[in-house]
Amino acid sequence: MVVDLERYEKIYKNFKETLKQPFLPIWHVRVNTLKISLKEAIKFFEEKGYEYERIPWIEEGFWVKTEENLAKSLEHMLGYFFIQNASSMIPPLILGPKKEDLILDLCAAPGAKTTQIATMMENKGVIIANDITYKRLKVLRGNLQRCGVLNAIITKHFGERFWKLGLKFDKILLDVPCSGTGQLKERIFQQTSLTSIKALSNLQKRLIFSASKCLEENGILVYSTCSIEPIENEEVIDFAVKNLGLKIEEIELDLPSIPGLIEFDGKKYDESLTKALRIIPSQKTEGFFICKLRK
Amino acid sequence: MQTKEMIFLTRDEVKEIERVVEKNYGAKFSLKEFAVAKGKEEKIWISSKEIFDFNLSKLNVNSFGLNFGKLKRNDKIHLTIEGSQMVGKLATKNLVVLDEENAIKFMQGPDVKPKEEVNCEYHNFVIVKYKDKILGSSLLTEQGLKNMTPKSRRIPLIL
Repeated sequence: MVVDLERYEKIYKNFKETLKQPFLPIWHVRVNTLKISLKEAIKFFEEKGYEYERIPWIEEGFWVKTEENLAKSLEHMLGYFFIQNASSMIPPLILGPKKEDLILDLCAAPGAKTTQIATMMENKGVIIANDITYKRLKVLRGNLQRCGVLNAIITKHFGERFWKLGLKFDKILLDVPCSGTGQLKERIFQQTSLTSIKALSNLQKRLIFSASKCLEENGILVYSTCSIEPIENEEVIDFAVKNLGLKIEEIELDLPSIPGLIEFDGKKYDESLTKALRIIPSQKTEGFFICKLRK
Repeated sequence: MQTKEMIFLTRDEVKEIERVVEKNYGAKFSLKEFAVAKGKEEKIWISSKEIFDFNLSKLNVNSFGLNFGKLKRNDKIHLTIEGSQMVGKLATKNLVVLDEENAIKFMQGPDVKPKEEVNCEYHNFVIVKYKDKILGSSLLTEQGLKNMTPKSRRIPLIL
């Protein structure tokens, strides 16, 4: 049985109304500063006559209005920018990678966030970009190549077993496979049931268990999904806080968000979950859940 | 340090690649700041120095760093788009310039005629440029540029 949308009315005001409004016909663009400067990107937008607006939370992010297919433009093919939803640019900002860090991106494909992390590290340090299938790794490798990423090692391991390798990381991005309900596509809701959500939640718990084992003491783990479903979000974090010795940290970014839930559908979650963020789904942002944890 | 398919090169081996790049493109391009490895089919991969120091033995590595180019017979090297973008700024030979129409056409896949040739040898790889953009490298013959843009990087013909 498909998931009942009433469920999400309890989280977001006028959720069903929001669902009826399509995303604005704008491109969400992150300039790849490994290849061009922001000044050059702005010059390009202006020369082409594109209308553009800066995404408030990220210097390299722009909403660009044009009839042209930017994903098939010369500049995109040359790796000057990455088409990536504005919400999806947030987790790497919260991870805060530094040049000297050793970073694990456990579920890395297609690589939007990996390339953003590499940009933030100015191509120094090391990122382990992991995923599980050759098909996904091929897309990941293509995107890392296109963006000129030098500091990533692409690996093929089951994420939930990665901890068995005995490696330790300063920072881990755990952008888990999810139902994608934050994308507000009717098709997704028609294909999503509570049973499938619970199965995903189990996988997500196994992944956060594995990630927590790979984290150095005092290391940072950022958990994110493009799902609005508490079973895939708060429930997973509640499990991590209560069982894996992780603590939720405050996120100091001004974002269009509401706090994580501490109660939903008769279940109570750890009170520190109010420090997690739910990016409000809108015509300019996908619904996202982000939580910063420290070991 | 190595994986099953990629082996890091010594400084002397890296110098040899720098020599091939200079011979073909007239560019004094230094690979000193990178860790350089050779993979299958004579492909050259470059990565951050930190990767060289990382213990890869426990990992099932698919690849690391960036595909820089592929060594060819007779002291030649076919650079990838990214390799061309790195070397292209310093290139003084085997460089061709395209006009706007042919630059788009080139990125769509067909063979094109260059607008300008800078110290070019036929039957060698040349770096392809349009304004300040480096589009990659391809084989130049008397008939024009033989297109070698990877399919995944081509602009689809029907937009």
